[in-house]
Amino acid sequence: MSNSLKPNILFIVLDGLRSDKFHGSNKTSITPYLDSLIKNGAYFEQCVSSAPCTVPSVASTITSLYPFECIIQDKNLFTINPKLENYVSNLKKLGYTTYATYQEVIYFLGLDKIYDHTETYSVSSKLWNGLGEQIIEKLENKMKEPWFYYLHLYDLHILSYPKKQRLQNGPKEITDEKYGINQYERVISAMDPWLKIFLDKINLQNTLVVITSDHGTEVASYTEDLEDFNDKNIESRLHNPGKFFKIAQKMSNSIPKNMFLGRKKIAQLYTNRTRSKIKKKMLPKLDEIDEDVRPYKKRLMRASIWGDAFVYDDRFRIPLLILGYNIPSNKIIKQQVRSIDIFPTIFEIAELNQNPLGHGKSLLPLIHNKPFEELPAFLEGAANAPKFVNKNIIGIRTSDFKYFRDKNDNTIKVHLYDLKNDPLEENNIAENSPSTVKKMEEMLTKLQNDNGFNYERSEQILDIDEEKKIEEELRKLGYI
Amino acid sequence: MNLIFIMMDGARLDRIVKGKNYSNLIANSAFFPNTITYAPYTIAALHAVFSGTYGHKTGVNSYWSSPKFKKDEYELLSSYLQKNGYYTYADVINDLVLPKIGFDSFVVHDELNDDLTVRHKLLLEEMKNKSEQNKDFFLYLHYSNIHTGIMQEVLKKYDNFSKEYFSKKKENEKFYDTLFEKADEYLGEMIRHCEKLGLTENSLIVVISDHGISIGEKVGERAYGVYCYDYTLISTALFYHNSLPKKITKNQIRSIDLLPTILEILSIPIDYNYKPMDGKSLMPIINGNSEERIAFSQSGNPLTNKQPPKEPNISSIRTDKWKFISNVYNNSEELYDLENDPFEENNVIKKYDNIASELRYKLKKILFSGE
Repeated sequence: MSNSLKPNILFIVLDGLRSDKFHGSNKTSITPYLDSLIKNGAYFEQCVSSAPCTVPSVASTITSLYPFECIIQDKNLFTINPKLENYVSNLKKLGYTTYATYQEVIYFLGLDKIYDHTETYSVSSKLWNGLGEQIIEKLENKMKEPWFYYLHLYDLHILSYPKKQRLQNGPKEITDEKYGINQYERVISAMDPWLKIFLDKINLQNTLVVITSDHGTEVASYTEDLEDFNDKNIESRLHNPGKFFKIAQKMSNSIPKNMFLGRKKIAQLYTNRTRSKIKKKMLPKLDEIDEDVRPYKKRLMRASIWGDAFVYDDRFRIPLLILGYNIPSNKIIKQQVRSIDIFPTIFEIAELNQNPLGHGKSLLPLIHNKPFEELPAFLEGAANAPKFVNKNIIGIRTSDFKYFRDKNDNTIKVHLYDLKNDPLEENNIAENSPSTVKKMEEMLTKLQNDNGFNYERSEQILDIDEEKKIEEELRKLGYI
Repeated sequence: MNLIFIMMDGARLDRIVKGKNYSNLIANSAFFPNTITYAPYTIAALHAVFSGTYGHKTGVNSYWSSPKFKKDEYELLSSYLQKNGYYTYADVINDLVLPKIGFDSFVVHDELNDDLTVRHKLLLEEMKNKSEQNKDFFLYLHYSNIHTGIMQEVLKKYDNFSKEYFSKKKENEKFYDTLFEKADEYLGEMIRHCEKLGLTENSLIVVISDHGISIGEKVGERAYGVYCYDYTLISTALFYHNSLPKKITKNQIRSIDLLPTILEILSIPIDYNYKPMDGKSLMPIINGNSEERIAFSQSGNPLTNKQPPKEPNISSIRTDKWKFISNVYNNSEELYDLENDPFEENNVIKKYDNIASELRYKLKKILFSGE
């Protein structure tokens, strides 16, 4: 296909948006524009992400691999393994010019090395305080066709701000109950008109639009009492470093960094001490939760106190809407699909001939009412950075069951939920269903690689030329 | 004293003990038939032999990891000898099997076309000249033709699950026997040539195999470097010099014990500026003591992949009586009673869970020591 016939692709990630708050009976936000988009496209009700947070999820989506396969630990950061092929680079090879706009906080993912043009915005930039205009300008300044534009919006993260700051910097809708039952939904309502402005700037006839998310959040389920409970926890976690720290910091800032020996070590010591103080303050709160509270609410409260990153659906169910170029309207698809399937789908819709990467499968047959076998979704309680890794959980999900366990030991933290009868995952039936556990464990085990489910460290990765040389030698010896 | 180190790549114990030339040599040597290799494939096996240390510590724990050898932390046999004034020469099958460090000459032969008997006899003669110039030498000779045959007739023709290969065990045995006969002849020629050149008196001759080779024992491993079963884990070691007792030690030892043993025989002190090696000298055993040594091994099961994995995914721990295997690739464990089940056919992990727990603990301890 010549470049002029290839569709442009707009890929919007609404960070932290959970599928039941995008469409369906659980949703209370007011989003006339998003509702109209759903009517004009193919919406996947049961799309499952591979990870509960941004870094591993984005890496997994663009490589169509699982987090443990595509993330490497580079000292204190997780980043996309630069040796792997990814779909964005393949778009470039096929003649696309690739653009990305994302929040600076995920700089270490290495997206700037993947996209032709990247723009970052600061943590405090939101659609309603300047970011919206920045994106409009981007869409009005012609991008070179065919283009792929990755727009990652972090507005829902305002819910993690302390209350005062949130209300000061949030959209006006955040305190108005008519926009939704909780603040999370009200922020979604506030995002809706902006999406209309953005999409009005593009021609849907020759643009394929994908709207999705990287992960969900427990915050989406908060009632008013839980919002108050969470606000108190946010306040408790805030750390006042004290006068001595402020004076010491002022003094240390006046010394040039290279003359301040051991500066990093001191900073690290201080951070560790602060973290352990906060931990000491917060962990006892877990025991204060009333025994009679129903399991789901208890889990939300625990997550609010100490952020358990388990692999429950609250974190993993994301919306997936595809519309525009050649996509039929009014398609609601209930079958389970995975975030790793998104790029293979884009490539097939856009008729881009390219050998598929990773494990994803194009969902185009589903859009065209053709049979499509449901594939199990791999889940990993992955984190954004090594320092947050405290729950080594992996699991697998079908539309019937969710199974998860410790990453390194299949006898620890074993959970099984009957999703059809227990969608809130309140009743762990692992002990009573050994045959299902066995079946799910077999599915899970099949997915691991030579490294088990563990991340490679960057120092384990050989220089590419060196590896090619070794490969050649191993071939001579008959091992490859 | 010189060191002539002959490496019989892929020689199996059951053939070694029957080989005509091997048997003659064994009768005059300190022989360790149950030498357990760290890895059942050459690259990681030889790095462990040369460093006296398991690969999970040295960095060489896969087919891919030769460049990762921690040369600043572990001293090699070749470096020890070079630093002690030896002329060091290696004739190897491939660039990856040994670090070049410590070798004055490091030459790769063409396993498909070179006549190794002729080539290595010439090298012995060259070393004889060095010796006559009052220079001690270390000659490493890699006999690679068992590998050559296996590469051409097994590795390139079948995969690890080929039904055809595993259904013709008898034919596989015969083929291996033809390869081994030639290996045995080669060894005889080498020893006779050493004698003819008068090298045996002032040279320690060490003959080892690095790993065994499957002849179709277990589906999933057509040759070696996949599992941790005895048909590949058992390598052998033999020390031949007049000053050493002629003795066969049936208890297991580890390939990592060779380096400290050689250093002790050659009176070369261990350099404590480097990290301590895992191996222990075998001289107490050669001199009559009896002791049990626990062996740790690792391998990488490629499953259905076309290339070996970059990290080990099987670890095992072996005593004279038991072997415990941890298969990371499928989260399973195995326990074998080696005394009563030498072919490792009955996994008794459920029957002896106390033994399994003890060995699992020991294995974890070793694995953690590498972190």
